[in-house]
Amino acid sequence: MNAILKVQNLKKIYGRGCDDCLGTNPPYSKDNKCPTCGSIIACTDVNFDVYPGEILGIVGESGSGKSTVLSCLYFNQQATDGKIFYRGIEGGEKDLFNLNAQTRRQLQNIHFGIVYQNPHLGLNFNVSGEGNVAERLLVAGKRNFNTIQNSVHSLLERVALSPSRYKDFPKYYSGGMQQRVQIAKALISNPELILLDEPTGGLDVSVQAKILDLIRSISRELKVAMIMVSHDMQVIRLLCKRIIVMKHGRVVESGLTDRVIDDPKEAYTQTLVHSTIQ
Amino acid sequence: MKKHLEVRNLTKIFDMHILNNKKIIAFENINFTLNRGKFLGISGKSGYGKSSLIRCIYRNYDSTSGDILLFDNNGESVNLAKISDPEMLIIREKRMGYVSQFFTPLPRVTTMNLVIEPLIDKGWLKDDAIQRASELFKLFDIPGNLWDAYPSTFSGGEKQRINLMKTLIDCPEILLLDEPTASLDARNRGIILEIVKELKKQNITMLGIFHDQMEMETLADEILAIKRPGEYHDETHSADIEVKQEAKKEFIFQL
Ligand SMILES: Nc1ncnc2c1ncn2[C@@H]1O[C@H](COP(=O)(O)OP(=O)(O)OP(=O)(O)O)[C@@H](O)[C@H]1O
Ligand SMILES: Nc1ncnc2c1ncn2[C@@H]1O[C@H](COP(=O)(O)OP(=O)(O)O)[C@@H](O)[C@H]1O
Ligand SMILES: [Mg+2]
Ligand SMILES: [Mg+2]
Ligand SMILES: [Zn+2]
Repeated sequence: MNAILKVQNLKKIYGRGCDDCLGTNPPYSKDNKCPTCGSIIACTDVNFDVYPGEILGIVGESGSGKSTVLSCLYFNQQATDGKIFYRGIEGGEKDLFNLNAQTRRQLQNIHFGIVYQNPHLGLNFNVSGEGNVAERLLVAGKRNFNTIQNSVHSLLERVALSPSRYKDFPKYYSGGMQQRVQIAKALISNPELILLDEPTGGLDVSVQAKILDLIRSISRELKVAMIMVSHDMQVIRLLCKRIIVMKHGRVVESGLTDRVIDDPKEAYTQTLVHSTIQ
Repeated sequence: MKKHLEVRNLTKIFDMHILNNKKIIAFENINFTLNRGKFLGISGKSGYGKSSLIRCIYRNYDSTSGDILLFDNNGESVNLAKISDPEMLIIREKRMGYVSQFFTPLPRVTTMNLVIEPLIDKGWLKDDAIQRASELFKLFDIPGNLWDAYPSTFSGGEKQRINLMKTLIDCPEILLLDEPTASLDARNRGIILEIVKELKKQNITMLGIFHDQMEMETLADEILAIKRPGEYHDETHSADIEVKQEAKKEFIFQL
């Protein structure tokens, strides 16, 4: 079985960096600061593969580098080091960090989708809900108005946004509706990979449950691969068959989700599992 | 007789970092061979590592050392203790079923949807999958009003039958059963035993833990008797481990 995405030695340093933290295996301190130069090691030596149609979970405490990893994969942040390969571009042979700006935009607009915890990052609040979704097709080069409208509406229907709200602006939506529109926006280009950063963070539990069910059914129906960041082990258990666990910018453990939860090997994972599961 | 599963020198030790690095030995140096279509019963007192052994085979636990070889019809094997996670997921999906001692239902997924999921994943049409599930529901004596309800509210017996059903609907070639009749009344136990017997007739290889000695003896072709657990508070007691390893030498009793 071939991975669709391979992430190798991904590193993001905030600050000047030094020989120590810029190399592989930077020295460890009790937080994510480089003990030599004090730069923040937001993530380092991160390696993982994503397989077709799977939901890969990333868990870890606040500040452990989960969002940084997603931002680098979506080119919102420039990675300090590392390589990523995606099978949809040049047969997976070319490091995405070496792509020209145009191919990169193509990845963002077509091949990858993203859903942020904060809807302000994912949606244009001055454009209607349906406009937000349509926009992504427009930037991907689609021009036929009717085709665009039909696909936007059928997708909004799929994510269960009520048709009477299609033309409203996102600021008038509830948190759950905003996430539905973000999900529709991510899906509209038929991406092969969707990055989700705490998509249900800050929502109340019943809304959270509905969004999680939507993500689960979409993943099963459309077989689109996802990387899902969450610090909620129950969410991860529900959605992901494999997970990676991060701490201080490093991957401390990875494996089958049920294995990591029932037989956590690293001290940090044991603490995490025992503090989240009753 | 074709070999189906071979376990060699398998050991599972938990390193509990959060309990001052306490080491808990689940089981040590287990060896056995299981042929196709045979039922191996696992016996031993509570805490002797029966469930842990089954979980290691399913890779719900990672083995500490040793090999778990799963053979195909041509005698080729894969080592379940060594293959990658995605490869193990494929084995779980295509070849191996596990019925856990306790069933944790998925929230907000109805019985029907839970049970047909494996078939839908394999590309069955929804109607066909529902048809197949309905037949099984009848066989498992699950009343119609439960089909579209959420299993989280079901009785122990109903949960356990659904647990078994969701594993059996997409019949695996090898089935791991961890006390599937635990805490069930006589009638429910009877239903499950009949089903297991039927599976034996269909030549499905099984590894099972049955609390009830009678049940175990009627089903099992062979019994692996696990003896003596160990529990150590730190490495300085390693002499103890050796003594206990000695005591653990005799393993398989043939019936
Ligand atoms: N733009 C930035 N400038 C400086 N430091 C940053 C920046 N973005 C993130 N960091 C730091 O990088 C580290 C990783 O942050 P990141 O947002 O990836 O964490 P996270 O795992 O997503 O946490 P949370 O669960 O709170 O969302 C943190 O120490 C954070 O303060
Ligand atoms: N996930 C786990 N983490 C730590 N210790 C465990 C875990 N699972 C089982 N054990 C320990 O391993 C030993 C064997 O347990 P188990 O396999 O459940 O025994 P049995 O099924 O024979 O009753 C026991 O000491 C148990 O407490
Ligand atoms: Mg974050
Ligand atoms: Mg047990
Ligand atoms: Zn440094």
